[in-house]
Parts: sequence; structure tokens; C-alpha cells
Amino acid sequence: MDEHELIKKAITDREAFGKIVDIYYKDVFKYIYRRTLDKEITKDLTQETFLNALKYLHTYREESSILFWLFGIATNVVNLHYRKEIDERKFFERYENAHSKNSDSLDDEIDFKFIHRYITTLPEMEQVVLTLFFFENRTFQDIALILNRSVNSIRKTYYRGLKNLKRKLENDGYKF
Amino acid sequence: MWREDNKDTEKMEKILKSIHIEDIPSEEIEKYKNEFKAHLNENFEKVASQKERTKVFRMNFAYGIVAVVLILFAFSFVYTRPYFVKLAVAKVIENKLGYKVSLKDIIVNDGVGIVIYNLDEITVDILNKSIETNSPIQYELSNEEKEKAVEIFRDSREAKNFVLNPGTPPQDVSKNDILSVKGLLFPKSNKKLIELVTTAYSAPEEGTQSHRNAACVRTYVRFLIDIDRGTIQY
Repeated sequence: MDEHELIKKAITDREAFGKIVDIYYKDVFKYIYRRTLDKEITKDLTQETFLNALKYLHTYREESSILFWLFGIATNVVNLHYRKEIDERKFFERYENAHSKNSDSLDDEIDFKFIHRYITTLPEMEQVVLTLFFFENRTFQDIALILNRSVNSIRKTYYRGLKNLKRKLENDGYKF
Repeated sequence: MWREDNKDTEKMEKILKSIHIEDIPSEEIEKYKNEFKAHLNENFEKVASQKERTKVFRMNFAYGIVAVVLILFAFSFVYTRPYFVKLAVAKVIENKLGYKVSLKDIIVNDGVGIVIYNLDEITVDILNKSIETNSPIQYELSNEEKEKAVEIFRDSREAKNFVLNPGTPPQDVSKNDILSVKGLLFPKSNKKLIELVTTAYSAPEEGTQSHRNAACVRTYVRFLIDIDRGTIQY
């Protein structure tokens, strides 16, 4: 059964939808994990992504691959999660923890946890574009398909994100 | 400035590319996946029925909107239909008789348009585009009607600023003698108009020998009065 048939069948068939979960669960989980860096939250948000996919599978138009469509849903689910966090003020506690006065040079090796804390303080779209580009190794064209935007707008968001990230690091005393 | 910005961007890109991400063990992801699939097995029917409910709700909502639009259209048609009939009647009269009538002077009765023009009652059937012309019937006026007609005439702007011929100065004929008052009934529309005849004076023609000393010429003028509207009808 090809992907097209599988998707068509999965709208009403549990087994077929189970196959979609088998194929794409890992990729979606990894992407969400790179945005949240928390396994429990990732588990919940991945589940929510697939349940949303089941609910709206009949609206999938095959303009991009099913993986990119799932990434689009996952992006919305994660963004919604962060917005809720902001409402609950948890985000600011985390943001405060991300800041400390430093005079280290960023030439030193840095880990993902460190940079992730800063990335999560960026505007939503910049977070998504930087994560997909650097940690999911997606091209601008892929990201444009996932987010349903033009390549040009993704490129602009990308450079703005880098600039903002650098400014945030510099504000905390890191040197380039 | 631009070069410096570019350099910084490149450096930031280099840093981000150099970051190594610890991979989550595949077994762990597999475990989460199986947990989810078990959850899915239990909830698939629920989500599917929820989807069906949403679909039914959307369909009902769409039908509801269509029904409301149709009802609104039907209601509005009751009010807009006479207007469209008037437009069609005006168009037929203009095409067949060659004169323009004002929409407010057209009476709509059972889809037929009636207009009184030059003391003729013109009936236009817009479906077969036929025109029928009728003359009015004279009827006996009551004293009340007569008095009202005279009052409307005396107070009217048309009588106070009456222009006999185009280009001549206006004159006040509202206080002139009234020579006759007749009731006219138009059979198709049952419309009543009152014909009132009074006097006016025309200036002698220029260039004639007697022009300088000639007196003004007395003439008769006819006004049509609509007592229902309280106006002078042209």
C-alpha cells in the first residue's frame, strides 16, 4: 500500500492509522523533544500531535509530505504549550534561570541545553525556524512547506532569529 | 556595519552547527510509541465519532445559514419587488413612448405599473411589455374636496412662482381668480386628481409694433392637484 492509499484508509481505519504512527512517531517525537527538552512533556505533546492528526487527516491535501504536515501540527501543539506556560508564568521562572552574568567566550564548547534555554526566549516563529534548521537539519524550502510560508519569509525569520539570539547572549555577558 | 553583522551571523551559525545533541535511545521512543498506540486503540472510536459529530454540526450550521439567507431574501423581496417593477415600467415607457417618468409617480398594482402622464393613465404590463392608455372620467367633487384643492393650490410653491413660458420671469398666480375645479378619476388605478383652471398673464412678444405700449395678455392655466399627497402634479 503506498502512502496516498495508507492516508486515505487511515481516516477511518485504526490499523492504517497505527501504521502512520509506526512510521512517523520517532521523527515527530525527536522534533518536539528538541523544542521542549523534556521527555515527559514531549511524550504528551507527541500524543496530542497524533490525535490532532487523526482528527484532521481528512483535510490533508498532499501539498507536502505527511511528515511535514505532522511537523506543522507538532509546531502548533508546541507553540500552544508554550503560550499556556507563559499564561501560567512558568516560562518566566525558566527564563530567569537562563540568565547569569558571564564573561566566558562562546568559543568554548556549549551544549544544547544551554542554547535551548536562550532559544526558548525568542519569538515563537524564530524558535521554530532555528530548531528545524539547526537541530532537524531541514532546508529553508522544507521549513517553508512545514509552516506554509514563503521561503523568503523563512529566510528573514532565520536571520532575525540569529541576530536576536546573539543579542540575548551578549546581554548576559557572553563574548563572540 | 553590514560586514560586521554578517560576520556575527556566520559566527552564530557556526556555534549552532557545532552543537551536539544527545540522541534519545530508540528503545525509549519505542516504549512511548507503544504506550500511545495502546491509548489510540482505546480512543480511536471516540475520536472518530467526535469527528463525525463535528462534521454533522458543520453541515447543520451550513444548512442553517442557507435557510436564514433564503428567508431574508424572501422578506427583502417583498419590499424590493415594487421598486424593480417601477424600474421596469419606467424603462418600457421610455423605450416605447419616448418620455421619462419619475419612479415616485408610478403606482404598482399586482405587478402592473400605472403612471399618470399628461392627463392620460398609462398602464404597463411588464411581463408582456404591453401599454394601455386610458382617459380619466369626470366625477362630482364634494365641497370639502374643492376647498382642500383650492387651499393646496394657494399655498403651493408652483403657484407662487409660476413660469408661463421658459425664459419668462416667474409670476404669482396663487391669488388669481379660479375659473373652474373638476374632479378626474383614473379607472385602472382609482387615482383621483383635481383639475383647477386659473388665470395668468403673458408678456407681449418682443419686436412687435405695439410692444412698448401693449398690455399683458391674459391666458388660462391648468393645474392638477393630488389631494391625497397635498401636492401639485405635473
